[in-house]
Amino acid sequence: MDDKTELERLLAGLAESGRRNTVPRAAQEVRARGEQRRRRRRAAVASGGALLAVAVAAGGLSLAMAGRGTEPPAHDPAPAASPFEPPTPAPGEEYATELGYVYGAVAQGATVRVTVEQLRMAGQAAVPSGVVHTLTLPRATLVEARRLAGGHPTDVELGDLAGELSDGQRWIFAIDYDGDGRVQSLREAYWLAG
Amino acid sequence: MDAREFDAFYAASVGRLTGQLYAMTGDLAEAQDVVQEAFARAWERRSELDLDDAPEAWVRTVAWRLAISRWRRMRTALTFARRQGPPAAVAPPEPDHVLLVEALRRIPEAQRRAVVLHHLCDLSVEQVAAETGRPVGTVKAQLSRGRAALARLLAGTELDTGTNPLPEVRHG
Repeated sequence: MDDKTELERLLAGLAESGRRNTVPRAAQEVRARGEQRRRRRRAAVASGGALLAVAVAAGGLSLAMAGRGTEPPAHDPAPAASPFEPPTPAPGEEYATELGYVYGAVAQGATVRVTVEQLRMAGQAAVPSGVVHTLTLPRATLVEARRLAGGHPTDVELGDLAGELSDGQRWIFAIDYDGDGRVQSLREAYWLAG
Repeated sequence: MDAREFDAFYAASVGRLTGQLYAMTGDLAEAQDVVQEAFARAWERRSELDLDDAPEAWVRTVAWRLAISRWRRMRTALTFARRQGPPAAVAPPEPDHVLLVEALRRIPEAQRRAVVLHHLCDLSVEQVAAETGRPVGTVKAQLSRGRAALARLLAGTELDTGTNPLPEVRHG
């Protein structure tokens, strides 16, 4: 059976050569890119709402801690075993965001433990909320980096940044928690960096 | 569509779609980029995509639009694949395909798309009309003009189709 026209044969040969000469990215990378776009779209829709939500949430924590004082500690806070409760996504939202310095990274096998000093928005500035906690995350946790990656937006794995994040408070991140309280990604909050 | 379903869909169709977009764009690296960006957008909108509702056509349409947008310089944010590291090595086109790619590039975008959808993707005229959002009569005219133009451009070359009228094929 050969009801193919000559044109169809030519096109099929061309397409097959294209298929043969390309190596597609891993599906996981493509999904990561899709997730990144999804987050950015939601963030764009929410506009300042996300930061407002963080500010409100952190403000609430601050109010709750008012009796103990909300001034930022004079010294580097010790990573206390804080009674930290992961933020919960608002109705209709996929993620809830915590803003904070991420530092003191220690790679431990397949995981990386980091310390987070939570920040809240006070006007245009991010100020410590007084909450410090630790997270132990898979090395493969997706991180959207910009300055950390030399100024170009790129996706990297947390494990690749353990060295850069091992020192003191320098890098601010938006940490995305899903509805189960799991960290799905970190986004470098380059817009808050000095 | 969950991750496993997406991965299976991607594995089954990324090569085919890249080949189709290569024929539509005449640029293999471009085809790779736009197809993978289109798949990323499919995952971004996975809740709206139905595996039973021609997701491959959706990805192809998005990839085509991305390619068109690039050509028209309306968008510049498609560097995802290249940001992931060095671009994947793309072999130079085989000599036999250079002439065809050159000819395809010289016919109007709409004709090229219609020709590829009908003669490579095996879509019927009606399906091409549905995917491109054009009336059936317009698609028939695009196919006719596209085939005639290709025959003219390939005349006297190794790919000369001679007197072959490059007819429409009945699919579906």
